[in-house]
Amino acid sequence: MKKGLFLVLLFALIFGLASCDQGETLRLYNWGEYIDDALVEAFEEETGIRVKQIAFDSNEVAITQIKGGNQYDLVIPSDYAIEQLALDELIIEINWSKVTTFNKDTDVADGLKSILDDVKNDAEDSFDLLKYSVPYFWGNVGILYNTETVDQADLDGWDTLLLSDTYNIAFYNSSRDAFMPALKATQASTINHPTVQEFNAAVSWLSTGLTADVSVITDEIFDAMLDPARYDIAVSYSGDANYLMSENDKLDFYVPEEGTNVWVDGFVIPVGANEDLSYAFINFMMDYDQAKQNTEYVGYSTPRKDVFEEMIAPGGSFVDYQSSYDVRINDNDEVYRYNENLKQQMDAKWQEILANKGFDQDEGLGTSTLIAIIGVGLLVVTSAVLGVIKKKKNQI
Amino acid sequence: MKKKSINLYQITFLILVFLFIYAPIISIAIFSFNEANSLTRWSGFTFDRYIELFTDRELFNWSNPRESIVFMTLWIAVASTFVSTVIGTLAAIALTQTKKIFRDITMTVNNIPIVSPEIITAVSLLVLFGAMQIAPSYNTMLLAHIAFSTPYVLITVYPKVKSLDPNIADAAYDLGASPLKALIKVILPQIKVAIIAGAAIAFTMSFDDFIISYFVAGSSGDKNISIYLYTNRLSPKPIINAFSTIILVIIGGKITYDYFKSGKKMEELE
Amino acid sequence: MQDLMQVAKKKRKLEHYLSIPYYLVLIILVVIPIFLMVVSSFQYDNQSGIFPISFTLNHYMDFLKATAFVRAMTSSLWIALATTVATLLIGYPLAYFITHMKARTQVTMLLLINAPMWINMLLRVRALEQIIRMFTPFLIDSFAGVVIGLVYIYLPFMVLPIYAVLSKIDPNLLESAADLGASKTKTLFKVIVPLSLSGVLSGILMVFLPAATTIIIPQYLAPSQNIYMIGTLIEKSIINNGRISYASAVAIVLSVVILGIVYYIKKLDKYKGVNSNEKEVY
Repeated sequence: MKKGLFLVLLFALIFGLASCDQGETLRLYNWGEYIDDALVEAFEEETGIRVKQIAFDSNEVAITQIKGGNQYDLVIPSDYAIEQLALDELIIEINWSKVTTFNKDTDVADGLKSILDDVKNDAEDSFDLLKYSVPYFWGNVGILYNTETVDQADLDGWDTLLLSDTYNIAFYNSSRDAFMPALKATQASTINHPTVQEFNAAVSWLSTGLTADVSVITDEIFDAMLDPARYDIAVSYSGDANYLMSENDKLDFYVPEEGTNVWVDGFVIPVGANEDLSYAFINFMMDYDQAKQNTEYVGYSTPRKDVFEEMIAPGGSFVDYQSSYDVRINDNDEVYRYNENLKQQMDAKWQEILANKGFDQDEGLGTSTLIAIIGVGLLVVTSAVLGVIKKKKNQI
Repeated sequence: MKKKSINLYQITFLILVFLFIYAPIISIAIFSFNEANSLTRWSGFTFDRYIELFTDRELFNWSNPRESIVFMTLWIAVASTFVSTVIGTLAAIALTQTKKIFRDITMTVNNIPIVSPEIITAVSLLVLFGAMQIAPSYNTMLLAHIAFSTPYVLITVYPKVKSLDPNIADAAYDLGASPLKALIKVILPQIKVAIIAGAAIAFTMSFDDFIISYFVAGSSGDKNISIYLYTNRLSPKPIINAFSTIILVIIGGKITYDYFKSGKKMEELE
Repeated sequence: MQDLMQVAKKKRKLEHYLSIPYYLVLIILVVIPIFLMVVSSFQYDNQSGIFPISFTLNHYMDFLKATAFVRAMTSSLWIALATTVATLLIGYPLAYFITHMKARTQVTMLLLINAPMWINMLLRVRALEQIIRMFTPFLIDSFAGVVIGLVYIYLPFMVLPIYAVLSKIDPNLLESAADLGASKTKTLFKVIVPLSLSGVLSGILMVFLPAATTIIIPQYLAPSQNIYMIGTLIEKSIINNGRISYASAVAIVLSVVILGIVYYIKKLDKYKGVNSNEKEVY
C-alpha cells in the first residue's frame, strides 16, 4: 500500500515534468468575447498550431500583465495602450511585407483611415499606429439604452448617466471609460490633457453620478442587456451595442453631442514572441472570409474596407445598425493618447471614486470610521497601559 | 456520559443552520442538470453539462495535460505537497535536536505565513518574484505553494516527533544502525500518522488556493481551478456547476467513508 | 563507549543537515519576501531591480490622506467584526449542542459542518450568490449581504475550535458546580464560558483576519463596488494598475493594524492551559 502510493506520486511527478509538446502554441491575449472561437478552431485545424487564449477586460490590466513579465505572442490592445507599449519598447514594429492578406495603404475602411491619419498627423504628438499594429476592430463609445423604458427626451448628452433616480444605470469599470464621459460632460477641452480644474470637475461629476444604486460593470453587459434588460442605460462600446441590439431589438445606441472617444484595437507583437506564429494568425484573421465572419459574429466594425462597405450596404448584416457600425466621426470625437501622468492619476482616482461610492460626500470620514479608529487606538493604549501596570504589580 | 434529550428549540436551530449551510450546495447540484445555459431559470433535465465539462479544452485537455487546468492544479498540489512534506518532516526531526532558543525563533518565524492574512503573503511573494525577475507561471505558483504549505507541515509533524521516546532511537544506534537507517526505519514509521496529516493539509491548501496563486501567476494564462472560477465569474457557465457537483460527489463519498470508518472505531471502543 | 559517542555525534550532524532545505525555504520564501515588501513600499512604482534606489513616503501619504481608502479599511474591520459576532452567536450554541449529543452523532455533525470546507470557496460563494439572487436579491451590494457571505464561509472556523475546547471540559467540574447549588444558567456563564474562552479566542482570530482581508466575497456579492474593502484596493492596485509598491504600503499599514488587534486578543487569553491537555505549540 505504501509502495503503491509512492509509485503513484512518482509517476504523477514525472508525467507532470515531461513536457508533452505537440506542436507549437500561439499565446493570444485578447479582450473577452472579442473573437469568433470557430475561427480560432479553424486556424488550429488548418495550421496545426494550438492557440491558447487568455483574456483581459481592460487595457490597464493588459499593460500591467505584459510589463509584469507575462510572455504572449499576440495581444489586441487599444490605441493609447499600443502607444504606451511602443514607447516602453515592449512590442516590435510590424513588418508589413509579412502581412500578405491586408494592405495598409489600400484596404483600410474610410472612417478608420481618417482616425489613423489624425493621430499620425497630429502636430504636437504624432504617432503612426500602423507602424506597430495591424488594425483589428474599431469603433466608438456611446450609450446603449432601452427604448421601452427610457424617454427620448431624457437623452441629454453624457449627463444622461446622472439620471440614477429615474433609471437603472451602468458605467463601465475602467478608468478611461469612466473619465471620458466625465470630461466630455464637464466640457474639458481635450480628454488627453485636461487641466487640473477640468480633471477635478470630472472627478466631481463622477462622484455625483456614481450613487449607490448605479452599477459598474464590464463583461456582465453581455448577459445583463439581453431581454429583459437589467439596465435602462449603459455605457457601451459600439460593437457590443451592435451585438446586443441584434439580440434584443428593444435597445438602441446613442452618441452624445459633446463628443466621444473613437478608438481602434489592433494586433501587436510583443518582444520575445514567436513571430512566425503571430504573422500566421494575423494573415489568417485579416483575410476577406475570416474578417467577414469575425465581424458578423463579434459585431464590431471591421478595418477591411471591402468587408466594411459590404456590411452596411443593402443586404449587409449591419445595414440596420448603421448608426453604430458605420462610426460617424464628429469634430468633438477624440482618440485617447498615451499620457503616463494622466493615466496614473486616473487609475488612482478611479479606485478612490469607487471606494467613495455609496457614501455621502459630505460625511468625510464618517462616524463609523472615526469610532473604529478611536476603538482600535483605545485597544492599543489600554493593552499597553495594562501591560505596564501588570509588570509593576509583579515587581512589587 | 449523560445522554441529554434534545429539545425542540435545539432541533429547530440545528435544522436552520444546516439548511443555511447546504441550500447553496444543493442548488449547485440541481442546476448542473439544467437544460438552459442559465443559473436562475430552469428549463429541463439533461446530462449535457457533464459531457461539455469533460470535453472542455481549457479544463480537461486529454491530449496535452500541461494545457489542462484541472490536471495542472492537481499536479501542482501533488508536487508542492510532496516537497513541503519532505522538507517539513525533516525539519521537524532536526528541530528536536536544536537548542531551545533557535527552536523558538524558528517556530515564531514559521508561524508568520500561518497567521498572516493570505493577501499579505501573496503581495510579499509577488514582490519577491518581481525583484528576482521571475516571470509569472506555473513555476512561481509551485514555489508559492511550497512556501505556504511547509510551515503547516512543520506544525503538524513537530508535536508528534517531540513526543517520541528518545530511547528508541538511541537503542537503534546502540544496535549499530547508521543515522540514515535509524531515520527511515525507526523515526519515520512512528510519526507516519502526523506526516500523512500534514500532507493532507498541504494538499488541500494547495488544491483550493486562490489569492496567492492569483497574484503570483494571475494573467500568465497559467491558471488553477480557483483562478479559472474567478475569471469566469461574470459569464455564467453551467459546466462549472457540473464540475462542482462532481467534486461534491467525491467529497460526499469521502465523508460517507469517514463516517463508516469512524463508526467502526466507535464500535471497537464501546 | 567511544563508538557510541561517535554515533551520537554523527546523528547530531545528520539531523542538522536535515533542516537545511527547510531553512532555505523559510528564508528565501518567507523572510526575504516580507523584507522586500517593506523595502518596496518606500520605492517609487515602476522601478526594476532589487536594490532600493529611492526613498519616498508618497505611497503611505497617498493612502492615509485618501479618506475613501481609510474608510475602506475601517469598513473592512467593521464587516469583520460583524462577521465575528455573527459566527460566534451561531457557532457557540452549535458547538454546545453538539457536545450534548451521542458520540456517534457528534462525529456526523462535525463531518457535516466540515464537509463544505473541502469544496472550493469560490464555488460556494457563487452558489450562495445564486441563492441570494433568487430569493432575496435586495441583499446583493449591501453590508448585510457581504457579512452573510463571510459568515457562510467562515462559520466552521468558529465552530471547530469552540467544540474542541468544550468537549474537553471535565464533566466532573459541571457536577461539582451543580452539587454546590449552581443553577444551569449560572454554571453556563460562570464555569463553561470562561473555560471555553481560549477556544472562542482562537475562533475569533480565525474568522476576523480572513474576513477583514477578503477579496472574493465583495467581488461576488457586491459587484457594483458599493462595498469597497481593503482587499479590493490591494487587488486592483496590483492587477489593474500595476502599482506594486503602493499595494505593499497599503498591505503594511493593514498588517500593523491587524497586528495590534491580534496582540490585544492574545492578551485576553488568560485561561490557556486550564484544560491540561493543551500543550503550547507556538
